[in-house]
Amino acid sequence: MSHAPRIDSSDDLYRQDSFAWSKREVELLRQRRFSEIDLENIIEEIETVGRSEWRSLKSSYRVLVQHLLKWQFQPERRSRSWADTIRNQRTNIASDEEDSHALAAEAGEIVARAYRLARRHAASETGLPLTTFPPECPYTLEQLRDLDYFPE
Amino acid sequence: MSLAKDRSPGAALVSYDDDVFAWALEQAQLLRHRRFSEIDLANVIEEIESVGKSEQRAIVSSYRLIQMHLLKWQYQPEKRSRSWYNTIQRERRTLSADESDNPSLAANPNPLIAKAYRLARGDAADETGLPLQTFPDNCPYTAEQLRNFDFLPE
Repeated sequence: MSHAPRIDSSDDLYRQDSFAWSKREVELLRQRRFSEIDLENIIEEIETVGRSEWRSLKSSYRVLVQHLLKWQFQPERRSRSWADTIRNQRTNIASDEEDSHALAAEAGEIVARAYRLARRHAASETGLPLTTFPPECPYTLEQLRDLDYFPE
Repeated sequence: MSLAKDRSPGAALVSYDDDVFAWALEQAQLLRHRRFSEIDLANVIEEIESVGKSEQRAIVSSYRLIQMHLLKWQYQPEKRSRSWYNTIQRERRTLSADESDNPSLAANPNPLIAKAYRLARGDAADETGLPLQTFPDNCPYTAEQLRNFDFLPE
């Protein structure tokens, strides 16, 4: 007991002092004192690691779909800059999905969630009514990932 | 989310480097089931450690910007501007929020201030075009001065 460093236990440490919390938990994990760790918040932090990958992919799909919608529904304004954005997002997506096959497997759900926002942004950026754009994503995953696909 | 649950004991775990998303799901699941002997302890520790490091980095970054602008303010008084002043005050607000979220770091600011100053000194030399030796070797401002919204050097 005298060799174990004194560690203040506090359920609120996580919210009140992130740095002290992190130090304390790292020390407990290193010493394999699992019965003393703040398990709930450690799980929360580990899940955040996964969630941030998920969010990053969702954001890439959102921007991609938004630009494909503009490309399709406002063809007179097609530009080099839109094409560049579309290409860049596809490159990001390919790299994120290559890094994680488990994440790539969730792409369908991710696109479905990203679509609502993409549709709203496309409407406000084109000035076209929201109903111009289909209620569900009109592009397949294969089309979204295909570097050469641009809608007519 | 069922990756770890369905895993038979002794099956290979997803490695952190191969698929960080799957890794996180699996580790969270193992932790939830208190299967501590199976978790990837080294990487879990690294992730929890990064929580503290990112708090520390944010605070160092604010000190660095405050120091650099105070140095410019002091050593290049003819160029003092509203924009420098605004940067100093904005970073003080950020610092104050970050320090109140981390009282243990706020209580012992000098190591972070020293770390930030090594960077701020070089920044100030580059931005002013003055020789590096113009600026003192050690931070000439106290923690109290760096944080004090009313402090500006002569």
